[in-house]
Amino acid sequence: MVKSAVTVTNLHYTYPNTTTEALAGVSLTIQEQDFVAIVGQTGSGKSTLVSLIDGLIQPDSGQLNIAGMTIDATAKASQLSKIHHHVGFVFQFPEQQLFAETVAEDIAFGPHNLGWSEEKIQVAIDRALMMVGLPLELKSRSPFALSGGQMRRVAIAGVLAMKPSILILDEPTAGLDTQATNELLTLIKKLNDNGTTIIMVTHQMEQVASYANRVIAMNKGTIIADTTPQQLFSHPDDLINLSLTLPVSVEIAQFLNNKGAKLTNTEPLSLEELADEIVKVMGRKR
Amino acid sequence: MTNKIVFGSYVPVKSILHRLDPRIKLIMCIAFVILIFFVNSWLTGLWLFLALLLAIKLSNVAVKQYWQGIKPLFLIILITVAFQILFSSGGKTYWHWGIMAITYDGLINSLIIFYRFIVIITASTVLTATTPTFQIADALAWIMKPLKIIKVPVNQITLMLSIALRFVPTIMDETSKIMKAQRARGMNFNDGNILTRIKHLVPILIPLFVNSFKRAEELATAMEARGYDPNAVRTHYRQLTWHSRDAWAGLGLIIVVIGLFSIRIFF
Repeated sequence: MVKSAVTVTNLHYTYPNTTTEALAGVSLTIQEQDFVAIVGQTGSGKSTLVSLIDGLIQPDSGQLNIAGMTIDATAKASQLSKIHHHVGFVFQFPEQQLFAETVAEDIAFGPHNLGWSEEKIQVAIDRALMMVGLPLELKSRSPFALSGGQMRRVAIAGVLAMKPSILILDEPTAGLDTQATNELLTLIKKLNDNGTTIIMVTHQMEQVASYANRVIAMNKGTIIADTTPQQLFSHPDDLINLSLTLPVSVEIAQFLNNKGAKLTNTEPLSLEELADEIVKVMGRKR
Repeated sequence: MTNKIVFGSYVPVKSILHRLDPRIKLIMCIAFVILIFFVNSWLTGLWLFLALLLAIKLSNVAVKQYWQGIKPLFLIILITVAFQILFSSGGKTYWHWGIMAITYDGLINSLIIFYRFIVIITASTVLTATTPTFQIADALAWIMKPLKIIKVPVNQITLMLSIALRFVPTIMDETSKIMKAQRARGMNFNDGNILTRIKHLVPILIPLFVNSFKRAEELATAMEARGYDPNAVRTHYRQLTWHSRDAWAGLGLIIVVIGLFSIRIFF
């Protein structure tokens, strides 16, 4: 049986000094080892939802179950901070949160806060650096002397060192070049294969298509779709209403079908799938 | 995290004070602060206090909002006043213990300090609540103009000022973002004694400094790329124009000044 990692029941949240609800009654269950993509326009409540899941803000009403803990409007701050033992959060442009004199010290910050022993921390640092593909020699270097891409990896290593069973990423690939983007997504996929539950906020539909097994679309503080990427892309009009785009492969397939191509799979999740589909149709014709 | 009204933030409502020229508002505010130091009796104090109340009334901003602006500073004021009461000497002594004593002069001095604090802070809050920061910067630039004669780089100072003001909200946003990120890494702000709490500032201040320097460098590059010359003669996008209402406000200030000195002389 698959266990649920996060259960959210009827969550409401309003930011101080604002009148509109940032989250207006959100319920969802995320299974262990899910790779969930959250999509939606700016201000749709994506960031609010993931902040709540990480215990960074407290719900006004509703309930959250994370790793056996229950968080509601009456939860204490100490309860909220316990969530960080289980949930890791990679913020947008995480390299902007680096502060320590050396890479090792910066990565050790999280584990240290969790109260781990010194030996355990040292092991975690090496492991995290290897996971993000950085050489161990960097440990004694200043994080500010590294390149932008390396800084981001150090920052991600700082989160991975805490061994989160649930990892939240807020647009982790923003501002990275193609190669770095692919490397990072491969890393996230590998973590997911090894049992980490992934919740990724993104605007890149290609990433949703090729990595997520589940996609949640949000609008105005509510969930409007909670389904597989394939299902979501089969209703392109809904997406366009939310100013979201289709992945290129789906767009081409649907364009071809509108021109009378008769592809059977109108939601190929990658260009390879699209190519196979086209070959199939062309084969039929011959 | 807390989006409360902070000391010095602009309150966008409509009022006569909001419409006044920022230059006259700035002059009035500075003049008022100077006048505070001429207060020497209950009556003179009351006179300036009434003038301030009138300004608050005209600003169309609720007294409650002013109070919220002052509240965070209230503790500092109280500590200062307490020190003044306990550690100044002179006049009749009511109570003493070691080097601490409550004396008549101490009480009077602390009362004066309390009055000055509250009135000066409120007066400057009236200015900032009714005037957007960029207008204050424009007004300051105008007031500093005569300093050009003695070779003060007024243009550069003005530019620095408006850039600094422009980035205050950005840096506030960034602070809360970095705090969130470090909390996600298990940092607990409310734990530990004062020393550990001060240590907790390091993971927030260092990224803030690093990012600010980076931003400054980028801004400088962008300005140079667009041909910014610090010594060129500059014109202004926002033109300040003097209206008759500004003259009336100036007249109001003169009345306050005359009133204050008449009370000083005749009572």
